Amino acid sequence: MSAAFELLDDIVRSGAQRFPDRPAVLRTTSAGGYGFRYVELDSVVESAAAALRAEGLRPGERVMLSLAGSPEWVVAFFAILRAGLIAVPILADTPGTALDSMAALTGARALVARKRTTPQSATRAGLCEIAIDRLLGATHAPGNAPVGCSGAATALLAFTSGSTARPRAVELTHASLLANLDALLRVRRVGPEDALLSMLPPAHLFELMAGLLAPLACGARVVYAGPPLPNRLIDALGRDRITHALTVPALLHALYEEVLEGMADGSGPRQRADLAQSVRRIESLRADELDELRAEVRELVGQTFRVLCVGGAAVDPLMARLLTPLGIGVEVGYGLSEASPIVSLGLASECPPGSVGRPLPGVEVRIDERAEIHVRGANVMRGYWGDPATGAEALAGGWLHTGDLGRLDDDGFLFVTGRLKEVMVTAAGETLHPEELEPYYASPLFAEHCVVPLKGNQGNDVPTLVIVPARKELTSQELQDAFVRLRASAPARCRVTSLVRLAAPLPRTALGKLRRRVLAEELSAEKEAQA
Amino acid sequence: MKGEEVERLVRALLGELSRSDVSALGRDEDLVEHLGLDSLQGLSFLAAVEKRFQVRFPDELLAALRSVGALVEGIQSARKEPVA
Repeated sequence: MSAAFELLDDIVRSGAQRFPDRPAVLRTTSAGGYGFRYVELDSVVESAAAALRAEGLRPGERVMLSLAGSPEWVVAFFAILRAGLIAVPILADTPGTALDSMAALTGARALVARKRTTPQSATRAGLCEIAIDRLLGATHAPGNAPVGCSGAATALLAFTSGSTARPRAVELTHASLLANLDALLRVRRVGPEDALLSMLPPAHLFELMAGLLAPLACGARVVYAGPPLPNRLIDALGRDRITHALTVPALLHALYEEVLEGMADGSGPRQRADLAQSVRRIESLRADELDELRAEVRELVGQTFRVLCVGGAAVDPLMARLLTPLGIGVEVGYGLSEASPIVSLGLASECPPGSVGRPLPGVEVRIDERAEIHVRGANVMRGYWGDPATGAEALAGGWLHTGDLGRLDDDGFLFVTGRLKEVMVTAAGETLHPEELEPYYASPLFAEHCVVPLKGNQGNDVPTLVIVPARKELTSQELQDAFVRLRASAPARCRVTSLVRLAAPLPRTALGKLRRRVLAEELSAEKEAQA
Repeated sequence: MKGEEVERLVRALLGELSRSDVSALGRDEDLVEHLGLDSLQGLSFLAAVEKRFQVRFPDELLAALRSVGALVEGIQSARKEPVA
């Protein structure tokens, strides 16, 4: 299918021919909405591209895109590409200082945003700011000037989430993104009747690929329902006859609580029920009782919703066991910006527990002697923009060194077990991963918990449990007692020696991924200052 | 409910959710900056405020609800509107 596409914006051009009158992108609210049909989208992209050229922007120049997910975002993104420019999508709420450093790193010439941001910021970064309304209202005659772009040209620079390191700009070509799209469509297709609800920022490549490019390549519609508050999203599922959505574990949990609350006065599970308890309850239901519960859930999430794809971080296998019997399939997967981004995918009910599915067709995966996951294929990045040395290191030997640890089982299922850079080496010389320790330290007294390595005296790591108390009245003694009990019941190699109490929530990326290294560095610095 | 009462409840909820002391927080201080909330946490907080006060803020207003004062005003004006 996408073999027909040479450039990313061909998806829109082809959509205008194949599905002209079908809705392509929509913004909906309880009061109504607006959007573009495929033929309209193509035409508005064409005039917006002409408007960008009229700003004096030349092919190959970088244009930052800082908008929330919306039909406007989609127009701006494809217009940037159609004008032969390189898109640099960033989160809509990126603070001015971060925006400036991203602009400096990518050498961006322009910024497309809702309206002019602070004048100082724009001047400082030397950016030409273009309000999205100006692009949408453009009446430029289509340029028709071929931009001389080929699939090998760079299409976008994607900032990595920075959960473990300083953000880097991953350079992806039209061809690498289209290779990933092609691989994805070979195993998962949606149809023109399907509707995807966008919950995540499209600057996130997982959302861009599976939540925008894939549905548009199939004639489906993409729905933006505004700020992703759980209640708005749940309303949109039924109202907009949504069939698919992509989410991240943190948001999935919020949605789960929202649904539970909606059912709390009926016969459904009680509010804030523990996940394991809900799973046990569902699995013990008789067929007629399960039908009744399913009907009740459908009242809330609509009749059409059937696939939830979870990315960004590991999903609790219990969540899949909870949703599958309710008729909602959970897709799990693994990916990273450097791989355009999807590496593996699988329906949780068809994968061994904890697996992230099988590699996509055409995406080779191997595990090296340190257990690091390596990826090879047409989907792999060209390098890091402005940092050829780091890029060459990541691509040494023709394989992308992901920095993630994992294993492949005999049936080809991939498991991700941790981050290479987060491996802890204890004073006893033992190698441990925070992820293998953390499950032993869950307690109702802890709102959040994680394990981080603090620096020991002999250059070793001291695995340390960091907790955020569930209630601020909890005394240190109560927390310490809970910790001691958990440690005693953990296997010997998983016994953490020290405990740190945090008042603030754990530091996370915009999508809820734990910033473990940042936390470890902060705590180590504090410890040093106290010593 | 009077403005002071709404403000007291907003502060209590904020303190509970952020697990920090917000009594000294200025009425117009930026919550996201002050409490170091990320976008997801900010939205979860707004969702909790909506639930506690049984209101629904207009979508276009959400981005502006970044201080105790703005929240109090938002809640009071949303309470005048029927809940969507």
